[in-house]
Amino acid sequence: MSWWRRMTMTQARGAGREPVAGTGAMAAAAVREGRTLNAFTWLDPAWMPPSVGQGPLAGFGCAVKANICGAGWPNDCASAVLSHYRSPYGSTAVARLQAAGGLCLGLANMDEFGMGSSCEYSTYGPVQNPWREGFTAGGSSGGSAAAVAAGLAWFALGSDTGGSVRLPAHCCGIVGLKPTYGRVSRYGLIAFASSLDVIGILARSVDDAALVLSVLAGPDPRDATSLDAAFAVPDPGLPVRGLTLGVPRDLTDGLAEPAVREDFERTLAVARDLGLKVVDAPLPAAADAVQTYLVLAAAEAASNLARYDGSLYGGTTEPGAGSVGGTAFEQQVTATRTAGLGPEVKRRILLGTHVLAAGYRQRFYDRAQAHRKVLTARMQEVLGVVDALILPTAAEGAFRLGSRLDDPVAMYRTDQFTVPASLAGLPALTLPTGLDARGLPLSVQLVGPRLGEDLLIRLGRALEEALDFRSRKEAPWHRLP
Amino acid sequence: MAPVALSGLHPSVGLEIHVRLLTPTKLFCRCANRVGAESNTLVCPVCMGLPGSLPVLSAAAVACAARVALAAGARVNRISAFDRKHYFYPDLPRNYQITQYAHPLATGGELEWGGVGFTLERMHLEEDAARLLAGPRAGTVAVDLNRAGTPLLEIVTEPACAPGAGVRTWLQGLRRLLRWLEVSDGNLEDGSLRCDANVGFMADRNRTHPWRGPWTELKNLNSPGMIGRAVDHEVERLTALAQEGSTPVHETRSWDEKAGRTRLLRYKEKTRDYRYLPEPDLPPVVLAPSQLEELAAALPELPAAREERFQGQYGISAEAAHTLCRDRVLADYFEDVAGRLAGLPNTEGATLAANWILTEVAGRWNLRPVRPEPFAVPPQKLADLLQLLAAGKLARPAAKQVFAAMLADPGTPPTVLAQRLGLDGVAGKAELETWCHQALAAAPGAAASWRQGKAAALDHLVGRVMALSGGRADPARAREVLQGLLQAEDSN
Repeated sequence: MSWWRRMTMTQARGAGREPVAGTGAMAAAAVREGRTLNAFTWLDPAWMPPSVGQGPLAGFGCAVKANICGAGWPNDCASAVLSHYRSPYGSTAVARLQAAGGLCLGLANMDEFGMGSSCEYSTYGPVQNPWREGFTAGGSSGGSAAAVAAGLAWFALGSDTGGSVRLPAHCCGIVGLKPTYGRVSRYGLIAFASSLDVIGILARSVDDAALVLSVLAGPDPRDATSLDAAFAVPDPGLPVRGLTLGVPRDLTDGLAEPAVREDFERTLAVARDLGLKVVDAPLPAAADAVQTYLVLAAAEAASNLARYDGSLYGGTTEPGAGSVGGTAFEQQVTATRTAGLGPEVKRRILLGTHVLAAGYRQRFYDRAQAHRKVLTARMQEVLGVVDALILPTAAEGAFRLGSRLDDPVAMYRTDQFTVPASLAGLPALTLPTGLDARGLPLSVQLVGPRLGEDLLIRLGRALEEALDFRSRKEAPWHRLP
Repeated sequence: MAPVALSGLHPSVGLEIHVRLLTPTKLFCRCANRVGAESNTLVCPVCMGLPGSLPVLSAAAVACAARVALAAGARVNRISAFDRKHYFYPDLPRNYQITQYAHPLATGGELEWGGVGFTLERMHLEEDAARLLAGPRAGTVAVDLNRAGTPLLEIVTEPACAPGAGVRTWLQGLRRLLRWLEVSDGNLEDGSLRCDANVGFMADRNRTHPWRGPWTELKNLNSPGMIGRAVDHEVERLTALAQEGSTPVHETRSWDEKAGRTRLLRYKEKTRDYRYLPEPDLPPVVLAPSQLEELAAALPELPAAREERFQGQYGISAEAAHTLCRDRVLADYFEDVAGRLAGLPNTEGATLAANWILTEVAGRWNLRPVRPEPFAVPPQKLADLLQLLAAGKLARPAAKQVFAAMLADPGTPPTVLAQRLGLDGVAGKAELETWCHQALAAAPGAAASWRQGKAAALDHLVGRVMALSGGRADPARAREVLQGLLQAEDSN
């Protein structure tokens, strides 16, 4: 076992290790192991800059989800329609990482345009779970999570629209942080559903995630929805005793799998031992969150993806191929989108077009908007009473690759515990808690009030220390050479 | 559809106007907002609609639009918002246009000029599309994204009963207002102002509803005159159709200036479904009352009010006031000069200034629509010249010669220029009488004609005196002297 796979950034620094040496070993391992895991879509041969900058991330290498742009990078979002695209400009997030001394090893595999929960809808093929081959690494930021869990990156950037950072963190036994909507600039994040999209962090520890957030957070004049809210890593000495956690029983009572139920109850017991109060937090509005999420996300996706029409992207298709009448432009659009977009993306575009169409809009889009408002208000209300919500990230551990491809509704339901925080724009932190009967990771999710990341970090640290998940010998970071 | 009975219906027209705003940057990015640059040089990830780019609203564009709304007495909404309007077209890089649909910037308002008024339905901001050009191969188009994302203000009027000439007058008034506020060039000819006209019929000329139609949407109208002619022609055509007993159908038509008639562009398809979506990338536009107050306070006096004030304050004619207020800089220049002549009795200074500016200045000043260069002769210098004229120290023709010299040499005082030209000092009475006698002697026929009642003969004699004096005679006084001499001869 290698130190650079095992240690967190904080530990490496505490032990006097050279971060960039670890990053170099990761870059070499990523080339060797990349094909098996399929975590990367592109490795940057020039990842090592002429000189490593100063700053809180100096020398630490990361993986960046393929939908977060860097200047000159092949940010194809794992989609054929962008297969020849190179972004001529870089995102604010990547610029901030690099300014803090962070290094980018390459782009991480994902579900096409972020649409999926298993990283199976990718032109590059599925990502393997580093804990066990043949199982999903979660989606849509599966490549980012797998790279971190396998020790091929110190941390990774992902994006979370309905759970796309938290679910992969759950499947891979690492920490996943979805910040408050607007806390991290979206400039250069290729849009899926703009009112829900958030750049998130996959990390080896809660402290590592907090460190990266402190670099990313803050207002950006290029993103009108960004918030004027920088983030400072909270003092490690701050106590959590006396804080209150709310359990949304409306969601957790439906947990079918005994191992998940037991793991969750054990986690609650650990919380009580830490001096936290655990109370019930009624949240009936969250029951229909998945439907609301699907309607709104699909509507925005249909709009955001309209630009992939063959004029600037996916232009390899000759106009006319596979088209059925219309003007030359319409034929080009049809041919490009038919050939260039995958099945799940097409399904969402069709759904999103339908829910905004005259005659259907009120029944679907308007109702979903109204429900989102109610849910947001209810969650804010509850979070005025409790300090944070606690619930599992998902109802089960990683599922077998291929097992849900024929059942989109089951695939969508995978996100049922993560979409409420997305709809309400609230911060959420996923951290690993234990293993299920198959030996695959389980996790818990903390949802905080708007801009309450510091509270989530304090709670997460306390639970993380008490659970000591990272020292489990079955973990890939201990098993891999 | 049953034939429509047109008896008792009044032809009416509603306008949809797009105003290109003169902001330094585009609506949602920092690219320069200007025309004439090489294709695709004023572009960035945002206006190209590149994946991951985000729009950020230009505050200057909001201020421009709010100025127009305030000037029109519209209600500027405290909160307005942007929507995405979806349709696939090669001139839209994202295949949706960012516009204000559900919550426009302003609602209501009314603008009236020369007795023609239109009630405004709404005003909103939106981005312009790219320009399409013929592509390199037949059947292809090329896209110039320089125009993509530039700011437009759309003004939609309620339908009104107005003949073509009225529409023309109204549009000229709107154009003057836009230039006056320095928000747009307002040129229909080059597309900085675009106007579509919806022609139909109204049951009651005082109420906009029920509105029958519009049956025709007129597009590609490139001047206020053309719009007027197109509207008249279309009303005639629709009326004739209805009288024949056929039902007009919804059409989009263009104006053929040569043939003097409208032509069918296309039949209007069933209403397109644009699937409007609230723009998630842009927070609502909030205009606090204090901001609106500031914008309103910064508005210049509006042209119609200023015209009226000019008549009252300076005693000039309505026509003169209207002409002076055609351009804001011209009106400013007039007031500046008139103010410097305020020492003269009554409104003599203002009258002098108005006449001089209308005859000598307006035609020589290159009055570009917005922010023209200042006039060559500064107001103080013109006031100095007019003082000399008023004091009888320079005759009008001499003053014109001095003015011509001032245009070339505005730095030198008019008195110095007059001296150089040998024009200083208006001729004295004795000198003037000598020239008058000489003139009468040289043209005995003119005196005879005058006696036969031909008034023009006197003009001829005055001209002779002016020539003899080399411009130093005061023509008005020469006329008096000549008249005196002729009458004296008569009574002899």
